[in-house]
Amino acid sequence: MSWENPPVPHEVNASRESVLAEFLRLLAGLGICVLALAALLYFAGGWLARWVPISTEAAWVGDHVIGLSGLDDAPADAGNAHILAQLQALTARVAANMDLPQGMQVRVHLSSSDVPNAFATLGGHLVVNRGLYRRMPSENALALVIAHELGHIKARDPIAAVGGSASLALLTVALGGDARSLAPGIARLVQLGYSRQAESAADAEALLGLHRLYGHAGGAAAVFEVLDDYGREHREISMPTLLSTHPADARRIQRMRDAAADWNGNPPLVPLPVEEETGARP
Amino acid sequence: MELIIQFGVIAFLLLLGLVFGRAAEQRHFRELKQKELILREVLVFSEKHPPADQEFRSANLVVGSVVIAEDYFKRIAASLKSLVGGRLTAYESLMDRGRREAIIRMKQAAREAGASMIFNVRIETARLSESDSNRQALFAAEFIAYGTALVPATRP
Repeated sequence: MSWENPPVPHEVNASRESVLAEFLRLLAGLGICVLALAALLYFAGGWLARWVPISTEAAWVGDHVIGLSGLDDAPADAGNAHILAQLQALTARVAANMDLPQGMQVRVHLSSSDVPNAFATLGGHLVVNRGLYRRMPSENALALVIAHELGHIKARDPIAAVGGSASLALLTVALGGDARSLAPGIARLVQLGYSRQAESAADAEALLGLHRLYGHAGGAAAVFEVLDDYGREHREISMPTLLSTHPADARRIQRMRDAAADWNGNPPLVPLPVEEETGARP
Repeated sequence: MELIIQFGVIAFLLLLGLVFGRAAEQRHFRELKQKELILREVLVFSEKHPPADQEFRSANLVVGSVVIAEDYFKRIAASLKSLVGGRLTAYESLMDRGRREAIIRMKQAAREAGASMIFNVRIETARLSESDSNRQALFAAEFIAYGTALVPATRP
């Protein structure tokens, strides 16, 4: 009997496949899975959030607009009170023409910011900046902005934006991340604007409402011209919400013009009352 | 920002483990090949009973042991792989290195004793870690090879 050892095999017990290639493959796979899950949560979360009754949303948010400072809920001077009253009256008139679901309460707030902006946020709150009111050339233009924001509220876009983001935050927590630092970002997300689709839908709603209110959609395009001018003048990184992430402005303006094509200047645009200069008080 | 730093640290450790871990592993495999060639004259068997047709002067217990640690890249790669299952190739090479190195050291001990064969060779593996509850505990394994070295009565 012969006793011998064969040479030690080098490929049997250890794979010579590249561990790095496998690692990268797995990492890519994991990344795709996490992204897919995040996307699913984001969209399903947003979709689910739309089913929350508006009364529940309003009760949850309460009377205050969350995540916003510098809001003149109780106007300090007569000028602000006057404008706020105007806005509330106009909003009520616009809302009456927008087929809002029953029980949908819209509360208007006036912000002292001079940036021409307006946004709808959680709980049926609508915030209009003084800067927007000041720059609007006619009541029709202001009505379009309000109608656009009402369109967002009607479509439940604010809570949909938060619903998806809230799910994402939960996923981050599940993956061992720190979601607390994300909370303020989520509160601000509502103001970051919505998808193009949501914006287009809100535009369509707004034009419909404007048409019902005044019988024509004249003066609508002026809103975007004003915003466009402002954006060009200031070249700010943070564009007004009305403008950013929206359909290309030129296309949007064209759409507004098309909607007003059948309007020949009659009936005329309704002028806005001249704003009282608040700084001129003794 | 915090998140970016965290990811940066992880990426740096991964790169460190990948570069140095791979270099060490490749060097080790080259050494293993060389030493195995040199030590081929010492035969190893798992058979319990020494051959009856040969005479031996003495029988000694010989032991070879080695401790090998994983690197950070292996750990992350393995934890990723364990999500989907399958061959843990990152650890396969580590275990292979450990077993072969342990046998080589055992053979060296046998040769120093003048033995030509080692019978009843056994290999054992023990995991070294600080504590099981600590997820960050380093994975390192000790490999022990031991057997009975037989010194022939007459040197060939």
